[in-house]
Amino acid sequence: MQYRPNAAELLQTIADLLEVEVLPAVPPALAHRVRVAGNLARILERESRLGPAADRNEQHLLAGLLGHEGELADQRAELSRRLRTGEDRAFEAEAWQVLVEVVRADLAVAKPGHDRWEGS
Amino acid sequence: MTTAAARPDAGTGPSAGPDAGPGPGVGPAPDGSPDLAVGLADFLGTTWDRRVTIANLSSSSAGARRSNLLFDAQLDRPLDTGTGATTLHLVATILPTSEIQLNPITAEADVRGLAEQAGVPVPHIHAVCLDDSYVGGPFFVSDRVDGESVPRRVLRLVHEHGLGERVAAQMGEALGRLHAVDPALAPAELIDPGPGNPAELALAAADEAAAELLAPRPAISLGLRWLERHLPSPPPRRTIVHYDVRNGNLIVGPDGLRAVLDWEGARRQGDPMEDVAWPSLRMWRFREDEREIGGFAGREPYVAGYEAAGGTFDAERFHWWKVLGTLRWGLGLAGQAAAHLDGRFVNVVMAASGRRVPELEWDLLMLLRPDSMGGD
Repeated sequence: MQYRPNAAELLQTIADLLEVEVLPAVPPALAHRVRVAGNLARILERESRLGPAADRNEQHLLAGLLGHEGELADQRAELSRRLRTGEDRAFEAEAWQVLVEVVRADLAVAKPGHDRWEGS
Repeated sequence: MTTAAARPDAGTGPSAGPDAGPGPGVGPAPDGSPDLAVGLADFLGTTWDRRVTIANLSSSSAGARRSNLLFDAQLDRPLDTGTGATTLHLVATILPTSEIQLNPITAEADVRGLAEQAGVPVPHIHAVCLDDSYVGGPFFVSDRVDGESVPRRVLRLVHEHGLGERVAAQMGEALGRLHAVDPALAPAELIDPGPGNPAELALAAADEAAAELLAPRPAISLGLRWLERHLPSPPPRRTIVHYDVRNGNLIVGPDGLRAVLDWEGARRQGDPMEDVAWPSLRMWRFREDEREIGGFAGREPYVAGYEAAGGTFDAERFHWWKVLGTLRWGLGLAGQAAAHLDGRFVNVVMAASGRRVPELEWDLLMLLRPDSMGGD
């Protein structure tokens, strides 16, 4: 088993280094890419903390929607197929509710706060 | 527009802006060197039959694929047409030689001229050059229009001066004037998607792009099914479409909208509601989520401006194109991640695009909310 710092802690450290020390020191042409890299480190930090539980929850939600258990990747593939060609509006409405929750969890990793907006 | 475009700042996919594209340093990086000044003086001198001196040459690329050189041209006597000035404030927009253009540069210049004649605010183009030898690539020279173009600075300016409704109205009016042009007058070389129903073509392209996804995305499948079920009939009138009007392709000053830029993706014919919907997407509001049009204002002044200029606003069709545009953008981001992973375009920004897909899925799901046809 690895010693500390754990993945989340290291990613936090890397993000801080990139944003605080590297960014001011690079040529302007590189700044945007360094910012993006720092942001990716923060995304990965959140993913390492939140990802496993989010995947388990998604798996649970999809099992409820599809009516059977399965590996997450398979469930998602099945749901995609059924939604693309389906005619069952009730199923689609239920899927919409589930997907809102799934994407909300994805956003907690990828971009916290993006789900504050619920308009069109 | 094609989806899943590998080029990050084409008008057809996730393009130049604060959060998209590979950023500065990719592509040609002119530095205002003496060779460029000589090339410009040479070309303009020949074109205008004048003695031309180039001054104050500087580069303003902001990470775009094309390079923009700002400069002053001092003439020994004024042009026959124009203001009678002997110093012109100009921009040379240089295209990379290595890339296939969406439209030939001459067609792009011609459609801008057509739009200009129709009253759309667009910087006047003085000349187009296809010869690489002057500045290293094909280029055109246009009048420099001062003002802000970086989206968040535009929004700051707009809020400082209380211009939100005016700019939204001006955007609507600009599109209305463009769409009033008889498409038969469009340059012959402008990309023509053909006579098929634009919505059907766009959905087919989106389905193709979705088939390339590296992993299934149920939200995208739900969106595609919705688009199919609600497919609009062909538009009552096809028009020239700009294809990328948005906050990010505008120049705005204290007096309002001064120019609509980036005509490289224009099409000879399309559904005008596609053009009208694009600027209203959430990603072009730059966090001013409650102001539907570019973060400037809600849709009322925008629609009013569009209709005053002769356009016909169709709310249902508009909503369909909002859904399509959101989906297309998400697929484009997914395509950028794929291009990074398979080696076509290895770049951290392209890679990061894959992690932005959930943002567009959220926006898509909100648009598909059963009660969501009103403006927000």
